[in-house]
Amino acid sequence: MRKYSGMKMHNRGLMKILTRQIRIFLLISAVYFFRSCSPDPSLEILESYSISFENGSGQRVLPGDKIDVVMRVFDNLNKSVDSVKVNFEIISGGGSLSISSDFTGSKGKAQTEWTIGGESRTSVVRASIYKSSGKYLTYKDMTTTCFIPDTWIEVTDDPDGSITDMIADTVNHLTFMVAKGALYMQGNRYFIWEKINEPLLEIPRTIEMDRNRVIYVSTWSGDVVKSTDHGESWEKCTKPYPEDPYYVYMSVSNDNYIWVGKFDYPTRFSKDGGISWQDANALSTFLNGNTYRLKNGILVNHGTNGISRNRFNISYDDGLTWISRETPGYSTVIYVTRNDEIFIGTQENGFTFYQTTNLGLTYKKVHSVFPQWGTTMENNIFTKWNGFYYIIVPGYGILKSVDLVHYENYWRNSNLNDLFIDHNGVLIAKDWDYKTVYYWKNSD
Amino acid sequence: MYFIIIGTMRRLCALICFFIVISCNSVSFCQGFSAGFFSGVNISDIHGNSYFGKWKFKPGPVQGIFIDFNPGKILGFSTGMNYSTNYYEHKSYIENIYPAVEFTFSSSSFIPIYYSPVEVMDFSFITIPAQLKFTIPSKPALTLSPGIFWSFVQDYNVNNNFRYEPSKSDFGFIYSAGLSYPVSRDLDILLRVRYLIGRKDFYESVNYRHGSFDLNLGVSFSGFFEKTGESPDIKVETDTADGRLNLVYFAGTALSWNSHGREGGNYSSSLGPSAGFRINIPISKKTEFRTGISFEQTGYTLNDSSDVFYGYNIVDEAKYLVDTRTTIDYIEIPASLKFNIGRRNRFFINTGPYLAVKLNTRTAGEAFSEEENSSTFRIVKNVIYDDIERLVRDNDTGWAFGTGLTIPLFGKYNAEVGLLYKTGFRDVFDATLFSGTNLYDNKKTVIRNRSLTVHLGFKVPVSR
Repeated sequence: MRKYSGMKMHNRGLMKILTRQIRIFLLISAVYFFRSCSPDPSLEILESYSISFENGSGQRVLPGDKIDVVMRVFDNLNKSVDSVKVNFEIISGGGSLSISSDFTGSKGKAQTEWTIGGESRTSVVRASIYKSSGKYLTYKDMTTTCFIPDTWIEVTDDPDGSITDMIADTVNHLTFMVAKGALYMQGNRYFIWEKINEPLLEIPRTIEMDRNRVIYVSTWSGDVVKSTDHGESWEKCTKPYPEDPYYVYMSVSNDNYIWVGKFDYPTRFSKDGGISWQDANALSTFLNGNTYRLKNGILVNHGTNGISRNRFNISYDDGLTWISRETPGYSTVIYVTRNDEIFIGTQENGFTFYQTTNLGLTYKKVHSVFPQWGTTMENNIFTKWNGFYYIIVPGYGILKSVDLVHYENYWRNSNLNDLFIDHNGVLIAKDWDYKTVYYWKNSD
Repeated sequence: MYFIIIGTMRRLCALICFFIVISCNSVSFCQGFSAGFFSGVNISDIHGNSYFGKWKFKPGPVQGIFIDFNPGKILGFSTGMNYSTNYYEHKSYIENIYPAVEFTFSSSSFIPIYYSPVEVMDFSFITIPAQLKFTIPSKPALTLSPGIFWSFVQDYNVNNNFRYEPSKSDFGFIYSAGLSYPVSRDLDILLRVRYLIGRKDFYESVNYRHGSFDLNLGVSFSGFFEKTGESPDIKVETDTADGRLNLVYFAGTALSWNSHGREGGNYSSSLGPSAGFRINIPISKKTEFRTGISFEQTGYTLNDSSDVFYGYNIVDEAKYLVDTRTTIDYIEIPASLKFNIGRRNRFFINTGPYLAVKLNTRTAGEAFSEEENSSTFRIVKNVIYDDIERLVRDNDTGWAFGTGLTIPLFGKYNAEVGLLYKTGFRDVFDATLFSGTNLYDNKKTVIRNRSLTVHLGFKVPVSR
């Protein structure tokens, strides 16, 4: 009563007004509150169209091949989309299509037959899709690699893009290659490779073949596995270094001896196809060098281990003892022709070829080139096919020679690192990037 | 005109001095301590976040005690302690884009997502505020209290990708406004709104800062040291509306727009709330100084093609067809002169600058995009809700022009209907986030606030 008496006189009216104001305020607040309660952020795909090719891109084909181009349209839930118009169009490589336009069916598929033109290495056909209203949606290209004769065809796919070694059996028309730790056999086309699933061939490293067409494969675990029936079956040889579980350098000489080397171990050889092994005494610098039997029975070898210049090795007693002679210019490789002509490759002034006619007493320079890069010890420098020698100089390119005295540039390409030739005479050059190879097949 | 301005300024200075004096020397009212407790609900409002996805406003509890010291009629000090829990939840866009189907990893497949699209953090605090308290002795009494706080994390639970611990303490600013209504001699009921914003990053790498606002109800007891029969005899004398202090509580709607719209983009206006109070301080018979505090929401809508959701910006080819509404919440403090017109001062015009302090900024709506790459085409509907607080400057300034009408209700109480036009001085878009990119190197204005507000107010005389 005391201090609030003065206030009571207008309290009722005030409260009414306040109540009304508060109601209005709450009403407005509620409206704005609910308006501000927007839905959470989200994405919703209203329409989706994706294209895939059933038979995949990246096929390897020859000019004139006919391939089915089967494409499928599907949505983001992987459900097929029908009634989509598809236009097929050849973008590169030439050729022809059986039909150029189609609609997807209930399985979302449309197809055409593509006859490869062979006008370029890469042949591309494009499938563009449209809604029934005519609105363009998207496209997808199907690309094939066309192996055109007399053209270097670049391939970066596996397995051949990662090739590390190869042998070619021209008698039995077989080619084997080692790539990505597996052994492959050439298929019915020179660019098709089929993996050999043989448990004994555990992580192959190198492959060699003797004059009897016996194939030897060395593995990363130091085993030597051989096949005497052209790859049909395989058997393990006696392990040359049973005390060591790691890889060996292996080569097969023209007298069918198998030679193996290893750091900190004596070089060993087998005369009986890997059944037994014996040490090649005093040949500690042997390692991965090639060995040749001359017609007079003498063994010659180029050792590639160590910094010594005495790399030309000679044995007069069937490999039991050896003498060494100096070679010029940090030599890396030896090659002996069927006529016992001895050539060595050196890193002198770039890359220089020498010939010796007196078992390494004197050398005669025969040719020099200037590569951009150095040479590794395991390059497959000399390859002979159809009467011609093809010589890869890493960092320079491929040389061609009829007698290893006179040379011509066959393909100047400083990116090349190695060269192989299959049983058909197809050249397969390997790039420095270790993922690219180049095929060359002569049209004849 | 010059003399009018000089005269007005002198009176304004005198008024401010008077205000300070009475705030320090009015000892006959409410002198002493009061204490009480409160309980309510807090709404989480995290700060310092990015510009992508939605931080949900989530409710949590708050309760506490307070102690007020009121040496004068207007000025006081308040402290106390309260316990609260803030629930933060962030939702991004990726939740619905990858349906639960098994994808093949072909070139046309989408990459599946391996992390949660929802980020959740809960923090429980003990908070100790220290606030100055300004009381406007109306009925009910209005109290405004700016201050600082310290808080200490008691418990937390997080579900995010951070490998380190959040900070266990915080320091920040607290602002509160409340109404108190006396229900007996020593007991008041309180209705209070508080806004807390931390100044310390509790995850430094992402600049998260705590924040919340709460609405609470409490009681205050003030009869601690009062001797029987010696209570001050308070006579409520209301100032007259035409010559004394008065308060206007108002609410209304603001029609706001982005004046940058003249430079391109199909912008249009947006409606938002406007509510708060104004205090009119007489300077002369026809002139009043008007200030106060209000919540204002400005914004605009955009219906156009754009690369971003919150504005018209196209670099090459527009990525989205955008239909969004961008809003900026401000606490606004005007400082204007009000000129009453007419014999009974029924009409008025007012003009003056204002300062707006940003609370939140968001863009919500829809955007559609057509995406085509080699082998895939899709139309995507984006339901937009982006907290874009970092993209907008912390405050805005501008100038306001208004007019209105005062309608007598009964006694000394009046209603007020007003119309206010405001224009911001500068671009409030903060392009520093995009420094080094060509997105906003053109220095063009992105967001400039303008609004037209209609409000209805209730004019209350200030007691003394």
